[in-house]
Amino acid sequence: MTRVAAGPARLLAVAELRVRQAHAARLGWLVLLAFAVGFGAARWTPGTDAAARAAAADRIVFGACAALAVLVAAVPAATALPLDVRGGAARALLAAPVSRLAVVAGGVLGHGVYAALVLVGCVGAAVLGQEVGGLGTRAREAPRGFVVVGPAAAAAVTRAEPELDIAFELPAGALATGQLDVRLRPQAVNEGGELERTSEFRVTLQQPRRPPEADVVVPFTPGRPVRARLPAGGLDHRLPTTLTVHRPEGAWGLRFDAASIEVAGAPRLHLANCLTAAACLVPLLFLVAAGAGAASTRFGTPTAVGVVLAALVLFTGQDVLRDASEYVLRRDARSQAAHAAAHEHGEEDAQEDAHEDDHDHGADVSLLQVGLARGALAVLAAVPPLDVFDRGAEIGAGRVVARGALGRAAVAGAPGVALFVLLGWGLLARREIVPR
Amino acid sequence: MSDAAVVLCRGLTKTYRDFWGRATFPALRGIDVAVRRGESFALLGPNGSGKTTTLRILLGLLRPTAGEARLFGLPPTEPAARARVGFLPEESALHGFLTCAETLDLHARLHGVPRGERRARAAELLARVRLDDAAKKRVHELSHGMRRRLALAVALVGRPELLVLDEPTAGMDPLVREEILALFREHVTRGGTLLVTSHLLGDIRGIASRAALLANGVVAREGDLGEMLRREGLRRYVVRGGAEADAAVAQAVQRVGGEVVESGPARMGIEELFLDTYRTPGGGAPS
Repeated sequence: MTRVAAGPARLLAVAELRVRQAHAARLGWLVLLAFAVGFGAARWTPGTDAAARAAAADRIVFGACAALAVLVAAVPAATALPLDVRGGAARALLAAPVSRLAVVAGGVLGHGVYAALVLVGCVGAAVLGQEVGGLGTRAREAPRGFVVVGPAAAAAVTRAEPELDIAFELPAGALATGQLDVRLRPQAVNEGGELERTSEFRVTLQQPRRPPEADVVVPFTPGRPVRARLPAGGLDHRLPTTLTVHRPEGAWGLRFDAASIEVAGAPRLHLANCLTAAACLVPLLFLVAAGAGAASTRFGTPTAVGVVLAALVLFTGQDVLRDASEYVLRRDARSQAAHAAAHEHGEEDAQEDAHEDDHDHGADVSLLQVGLARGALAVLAAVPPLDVFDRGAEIGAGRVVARGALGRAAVAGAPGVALFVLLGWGLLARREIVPR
Repeated sequence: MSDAAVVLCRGLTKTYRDFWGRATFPALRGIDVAVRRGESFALLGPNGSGKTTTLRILLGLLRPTAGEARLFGLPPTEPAARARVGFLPEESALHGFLTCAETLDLHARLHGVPRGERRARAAELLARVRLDDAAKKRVHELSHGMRRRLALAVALVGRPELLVLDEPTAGMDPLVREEILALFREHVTRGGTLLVTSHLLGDIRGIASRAALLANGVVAREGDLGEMLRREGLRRYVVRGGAEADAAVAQAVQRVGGEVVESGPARMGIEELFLDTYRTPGGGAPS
């Protein structure tokens, strides 16, 4: 009697098969392409200074690696089963004592793992390419994690109240370089009536029973966040610290919204930060592989690839869809309000109001448009936002990607993966392997 | 028909449908077949008679439109039923990017063979189908005959109780076919069950004891293959001697009231000639 192993063993066998199948498609050369992108971005990305060039290059490089990995997750997953069916290998696979759920889930696991490996390889190669291209670790500032230190509520620094004190605990590793890196997002309030393009303020650090550190003059342009590096050689990381913002003169007052001042924590290696960001992208790769796998259980290769790429375009453009749907609903609400006013204020006035409203906001929207907009919003409510997975903005801004982001990405991606696996299972369970 | 049968089809009907669900082609029209344990059973018939459709339903690759199919008393869609089955498809379409050893390892895993046994079993099967020298060759590098032998090793990897063979000797030269047929006979000798379809009726005669003849999706005849092949009222003798013996034999036959219907020099088949020519003196065949 044949011994029957537990389901996961078979699922892992299918997963390994899919990894080998994707590997046989020679997608590994994408790692070399990523190296070239990293090198090219380091050499030829324009920027006003090294930091700006590094930020732009990092965005390009991480975006390119993410796009490559998403394609690697989508295309082999969409083609594996149709190719097996067309080539005949599906007969041996599906006639084996393996459940169709294991075939689908194993495929998702295998393609997801392979795409994750390609992503890690691409990110590593791209960072190496940047290093070779002259934008390596020595030519850039290490990314750092930033911790919000205040204020707890909106606070102002004006002529009447020229100082703002923020008390906080120094984050671990904050003093690693002998300076404290501070980011501030002040809003400008014009007090003098004069139109200055730029102005400045001073920032100082102090700890109890210690002399204050030298203050630093920070130039700023109204409405733009600023970064200050404050001398902190005399600070003790165990003591509470006070950051004082002082505005001695000028036409612009400052208003700090809640949580608009951040202090940098420990620096992290750029490569490690990129790999953490890549790890956040992995649940998206599994989501894509699962969607492609589900499509492949029903369609042939061209249709499955087309369906997956269309879904990817919709997913990445979800903000546009959301904005458009909300716009349609806003127009509908305005139109409804105008009609309500027609009943209240008399036919004539209301028609005039409605006419004006239409002039401002366009013609009334149809019921179909409203229905589509509501449907789209309902569907989008269940779709995780792209930036949960894509941490490219943090990479570009030189910020450490928090490890908690990885958990959030996993939680956001898991329901979709499970849903697609179940959908694929349902479709494959009904699928017949018809003789040619 | 017994419920304890290894393979059981009752009123099995299959109508293929197009994308829109419209019936296109009735492949099976209520066939009843039972294969008992230890039996070697052949499904015979011309192209389009429903042989492959029947096998695919029995392997869970197709769903019947009506009727039922059972493997070891279970629906074929149950992996537990298929765990006792080895399948050799008509075309040995295995994954070309895997080596022979990797292919066997994959299917051993799918059949739940424990990790510690997998390597030894793969080596044993590769030796049995004479592919031990090609263990590290990729499937796409193999010749047609080698792929068929590998596919047979895949079918045997789970030590199946039932071997399902779809046109098992198609495209094989007589040397390889002899070896393959010997493996099938060995399977039956060990108590295994065989369900086979083939166009090569000479091969079937060597391995199948019972058969069902399908025609247009129904069972036209079913029974013991030897009985079905017997020509009523005729006997066959092979006599050592020259043409001078013909008259003596004819007289002897007439004396007991019979008649010599046909006589002539005994000839070997062209396959026997092939085997005689290429089989090495030690009993092995050149690879």
